[in-house]
Amino acid sequence: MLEVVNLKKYFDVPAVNDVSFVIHKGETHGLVGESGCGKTTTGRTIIKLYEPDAGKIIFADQDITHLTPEEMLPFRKRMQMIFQDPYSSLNPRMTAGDIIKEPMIIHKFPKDEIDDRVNNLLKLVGLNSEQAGRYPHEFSGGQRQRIGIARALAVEPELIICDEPISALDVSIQAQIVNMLEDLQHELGLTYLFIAHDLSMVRHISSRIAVMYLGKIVELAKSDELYSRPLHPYTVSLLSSVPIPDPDKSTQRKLITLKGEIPNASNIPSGCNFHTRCPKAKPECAKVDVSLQDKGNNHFCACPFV
Amino acid sequence: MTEILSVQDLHTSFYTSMGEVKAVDGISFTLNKGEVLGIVGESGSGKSASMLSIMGLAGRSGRVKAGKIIFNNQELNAENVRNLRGKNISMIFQDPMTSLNPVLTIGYQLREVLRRHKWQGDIRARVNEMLELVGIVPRLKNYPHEFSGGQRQRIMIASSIICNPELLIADEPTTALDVTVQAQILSLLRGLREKFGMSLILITHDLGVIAGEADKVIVMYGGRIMEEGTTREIFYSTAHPYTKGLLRSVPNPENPEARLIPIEGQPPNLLNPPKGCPFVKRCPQAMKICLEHKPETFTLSQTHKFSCWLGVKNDA
Repeated sequence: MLEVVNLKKYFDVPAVNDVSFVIHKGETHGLVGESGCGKTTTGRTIIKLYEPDAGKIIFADQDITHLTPEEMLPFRKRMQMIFQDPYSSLNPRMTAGDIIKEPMIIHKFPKDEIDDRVNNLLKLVGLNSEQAGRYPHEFSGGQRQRIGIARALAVEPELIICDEPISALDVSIQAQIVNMLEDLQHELGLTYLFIAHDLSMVRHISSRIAVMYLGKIVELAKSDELYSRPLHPYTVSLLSSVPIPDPDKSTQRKLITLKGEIPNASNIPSGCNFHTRCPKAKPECAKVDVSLQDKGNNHFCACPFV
Repeated sequence: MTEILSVQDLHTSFYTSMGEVKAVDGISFTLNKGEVLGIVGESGSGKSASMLSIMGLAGRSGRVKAGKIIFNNQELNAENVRNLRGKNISMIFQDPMTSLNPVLTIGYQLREVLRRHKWQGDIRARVNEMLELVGIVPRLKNYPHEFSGGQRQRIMIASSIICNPELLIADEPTTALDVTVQAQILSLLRGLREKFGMSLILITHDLGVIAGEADKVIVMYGGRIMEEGTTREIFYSTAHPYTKGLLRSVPNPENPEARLIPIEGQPPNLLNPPKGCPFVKRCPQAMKICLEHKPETFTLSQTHKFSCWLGVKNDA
């Protein structure tokens, strides 16, 4: 469905640095990492909200890397995005109905169908058609996220980039939205790129997961494989930091706390960019090649020493 | 064990242009010296409002309408809390980006606390000592924007414990931080507790953080306490349908792919709260009585209580 090859995006400093991965039709591909690791920039560059600086984006066997905005329009219909913040991603002066209608007008859906479609979309995301005339401030956070999802679904996309779709929501509402995304995927055959920092939710929803650190993918594997057998020292410490909602297990686990802070992107360490914080760092880590290697079972890891 | 804090039937309301919001609707609890109390609840459940009431920080639109707050055998009021705040009781806020004053150096902000509470000793040495304790190189002349989010939260912690408080209230101290930084901050708080015997109230919506850190837990919803007990009681002998719902909403670490069971519906509107139990509209086990009457509190063990009409059966 989507292939990203050696993608690079710079904002004066490298934000996405040589990222490659493939998403198959109908799967959910997770992308995790901490603030500033480049996961959101990756998502936004794929959908060409940002122009890539190098590399290729191949969507449904067509290279879309260098398309102009006009040429991009038909592809935009096929790939949509759901944003993190349900408060700032909806125009407060438009009604829910108009928000959902807008992409259909842009993509020239037959006018007589649009109103019916809005009603169906509202039902699809668990709202009712009477709510079409209300403004975003009249909805709760979870309901607003449903409107954002209805807007993304309006043009019948094949790929949806979900950028932290649940991190602004309360725990009880997060589960509602995750279940809805899973149901919609089955019903409509959607493919997701699921970007998040909540590692337990990413594991729940994704079939494969890529872990990013400072603009690079450090590890990529099937979800079960990644969580049961993490290889990269960064993934190991990241997973050990996730709190476990079970008092007994949480006292038994071994926490691997990282020292220090993520280095500034304007001053990225040479070689393996994690070597300054890595608990297993060796002198040669400052100049090793960190391209992803298959360690067996389609489990890719950037650390040459594991 | 010595009791350090006792809150009795606290009611706090905020007065808005749309009417009175009963943010805290009659909560009571006690905390012993050295204990960690976790408070869980969603946005608007009243967890932060109850803590601001204790600190005397409910603001101009907020008012503590009824109830007693007793700290170290002394009843708190608007006057005496000013001298305890920052010294005996301290608070860390959720957002490290906005809780420090951006136009003052961090050295100034730390010294300010000591001066306000007339610190008897070398102020400069104390500031350096505290920053080292939380793992920050004392760059006293730097401004908050020159530090990262995790560093700012450490500076906040340093300023809140600089007068050796007996009680620290941490309101979502790690929510704005990444998991690896969260782990660093939680282990820092653990170390401080062990070293100084400080009591801690930890407010969070993350059940994982509660499981790892708290001795006992209060679950709040719609301004009321739904369930309270030791951490083991809350996780392993869960009584309240809301607590059960919360625990089922997060992926099970044993079976991560199993479908989640969300709590349906939306949180209540506190401007127009339900007459009976605040959870009634979302509760899978709601009965007729729940619509009309606020539930009584039922006791399951010395430490475990829950507020739900289902408790009637347990008593019979």
